[in-house]
Amino acid sequence: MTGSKTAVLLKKVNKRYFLRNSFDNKPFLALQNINLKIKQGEKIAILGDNGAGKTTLLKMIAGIAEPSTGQVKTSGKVVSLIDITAGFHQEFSGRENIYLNAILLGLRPKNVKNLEQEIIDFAGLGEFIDQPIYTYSSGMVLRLGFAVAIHAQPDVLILDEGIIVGDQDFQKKAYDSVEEIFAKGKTIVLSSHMLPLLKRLCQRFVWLEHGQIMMDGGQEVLLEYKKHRANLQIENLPSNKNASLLFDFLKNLPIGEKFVATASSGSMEPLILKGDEIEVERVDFANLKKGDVIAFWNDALQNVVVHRFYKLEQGKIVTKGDNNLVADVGYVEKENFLGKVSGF
Amino acid sequence: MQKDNLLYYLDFVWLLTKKEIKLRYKRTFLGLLWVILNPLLQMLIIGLVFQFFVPMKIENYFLFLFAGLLPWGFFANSLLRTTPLLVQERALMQKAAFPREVLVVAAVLANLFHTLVASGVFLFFLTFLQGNLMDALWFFISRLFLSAFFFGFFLLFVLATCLIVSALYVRVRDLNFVVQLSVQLLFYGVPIVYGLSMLPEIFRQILYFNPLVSFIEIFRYFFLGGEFNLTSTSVVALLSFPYLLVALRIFRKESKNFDDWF
Repeated sequence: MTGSKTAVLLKKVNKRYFLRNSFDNKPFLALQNINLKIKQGEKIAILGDNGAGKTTLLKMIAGIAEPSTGQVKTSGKVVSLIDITAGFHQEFSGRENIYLNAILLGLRPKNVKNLEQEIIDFAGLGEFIDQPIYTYSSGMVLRLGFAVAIHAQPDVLILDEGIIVGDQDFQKKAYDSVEEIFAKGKTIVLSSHMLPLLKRLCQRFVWLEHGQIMMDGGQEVLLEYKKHRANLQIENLPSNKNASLLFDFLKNLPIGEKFVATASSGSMEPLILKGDEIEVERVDFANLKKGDVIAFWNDALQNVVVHRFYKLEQGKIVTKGDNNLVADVGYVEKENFLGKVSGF
Repeated sequence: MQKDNLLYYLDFVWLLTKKEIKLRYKRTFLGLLWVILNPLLQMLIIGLVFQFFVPMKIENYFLFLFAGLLPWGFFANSLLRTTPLLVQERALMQKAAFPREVLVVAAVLANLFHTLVASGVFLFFLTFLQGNLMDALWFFISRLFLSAFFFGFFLLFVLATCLIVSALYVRVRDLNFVVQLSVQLLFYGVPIVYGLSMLPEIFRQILYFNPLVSFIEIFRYFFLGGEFNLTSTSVVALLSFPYLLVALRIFRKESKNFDDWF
C-alpha cells in the first residue's frame, strides 16, 4: 500500500513560541529539529504526553502554523480534522454550516451539492438540518462536523484526538468510516490517546517528548511509550489470588489517577477488542454522563467489566456492552464503580 | 491546478461574504431595510444639527450629506469591522488552513454590498428628480456606469487599508483604540458635513493629502455635480492598485506570525 513518493517532508523544523508578559518575552521551543519523512499511503501515529508538541506538529503539516526555521513540504490535498466543528456558526442552519465547514476542508460548494444528502443522512439529523445549530445538542453538532469531514476526500488526512464522537451508535458508524478511509490507502497522520485504536490502524509510530522526536519506528515504539506512560501497571501487582483485594486497591486510588488494563472479552466491540489495552481514569461517580464508557467491579465474575452508561435507574447506572449479542446488562453503584475509560 | 485554486479561492470569498451579509440581518424584523435606513437616519440626525443648530450654507444639504455618507460609511464600517476581525476569528485560524486574507476580503465585500444597495436607492431617487424621461434615462445610465467605475477603485483602497490595519492589529492591540478614535476624528477631516470650497486654500491643499477626500469628492460630483480636484483624484486612482499589492504583501508577511501572537 505504501508508495515510494513522499507525501510529507519536514526538514530541520523548529517552532518557537514566546511566553509573553509585560516586561520580557521568553522563547519557548515547541518543536526542536524535527526531521520527518512520510511516504504516500503511510499511516503514522504521533504519540506523546500533553504538551509534548503533538498538536504543533500536526498544525505544521496541515499548514495552519508556519515553522520558525526549517521546511515543511506536502504534496496533494491536506485536510486536517483538528477540530471538526471549527467552521460552524451558531446562528446558521445545519445545511448552511455544511457548506461553511466544507470550504474550510477544501470542498467547493458545487461538489458539496452532490454530497449534501449523504452528509445529512450520515449525521442522522433529519429535519433538524434546517434549524440553526444553536438549537442542536452538542452531540448533534459533533455528528454533523464529523459527517462533513469524512466526505472531504483528502490525499493527506490529519486527525487529532477526539475524532470518534457522538453516542454509541454514531461512534460505531464513525469508527467504521475512519477504518474505511484507512483502507483506501491515503496518507494519514494521527494523534490520539486511544492507544488500542492506534495499534490496530497504524504501522509507524513517532514518539514526541519536549518537542523532540524520542523514537520513530514500528510497534516497538508504542510499547516503549506505554511503559513510559502507565504510572501503574496491573501486571506489576502481585498476582491476584484475591481479586477483590485488587479491586479495593484500585477503588482507593485518588480521583484523577489512571491505570491500564487489558480487555479480556469482546463486549465493547468494535471500539475495544479483546487484548486491547485501555486506560481507566478515576473520576467522580456523580460526574458520569450517559454514553460514557465506564469500568466497574462485577461480583459474580470477580472481575472488572467495561461497559457503556446506558441509563439511570433509581440511582443505579444501568450499563450495556456495545456488542449486545455478547454482553449482559450491568448495574453500577458508587460502591462498585472504578473509573471512566479515557478516549471515548 | 492553478485554475482550480483560483476558483476555490473565489468560492471561499463568495461563501464568506454571503455569510457576513446574512449574519448581519439574521433575526431582525426590518432585515435588509436597515441597509438604507441606516445612512438615511444618519443623514437626518446630522442634517438636523447642521441645518437648524449650526446652519450650513449649502443647497440641498440633505442630499449633499447623503452623498458623502455613502462612501464614508463603506470606509468606516469596513475598517471598524476588520480591525479586530482576525483576533475574533482566532479559533478558526488555529484549526483550519486557509488563506487568511479571505476573512478580511469577505467582510469588506459584505460592506460593499450594503453600500451598493444604498447607493442604488439613492440613484433611483435622484433619477426621479430629473425633469423629463430622456434626462432621467441618461442620468441613470451614466451614473450607474460612473459609480461602478468609482467603487472599483474605492474597493481597492478600502481593502488595502483594512488588510494592513487588521494584520498589524494582531501584534499591536492598541490599534483598535487608535482606529476607533481616528474614525471619529476623520469624520470631520473629510468633506462630509461641509464642502471643501468653504475652507481656506491652505487647508484644502493639506486635506488633499488624505485619499479619502478625493474619493468622497468625486463620488459626490458624479451624483450631485459641483467641483472636484482632477489632479488629486487621478493620483489617488492610479495609486490604489499598487497600494493594494503592497498591502497584500504586508498581510502575507504578517500572517506567517499570526500564530505566535494569538
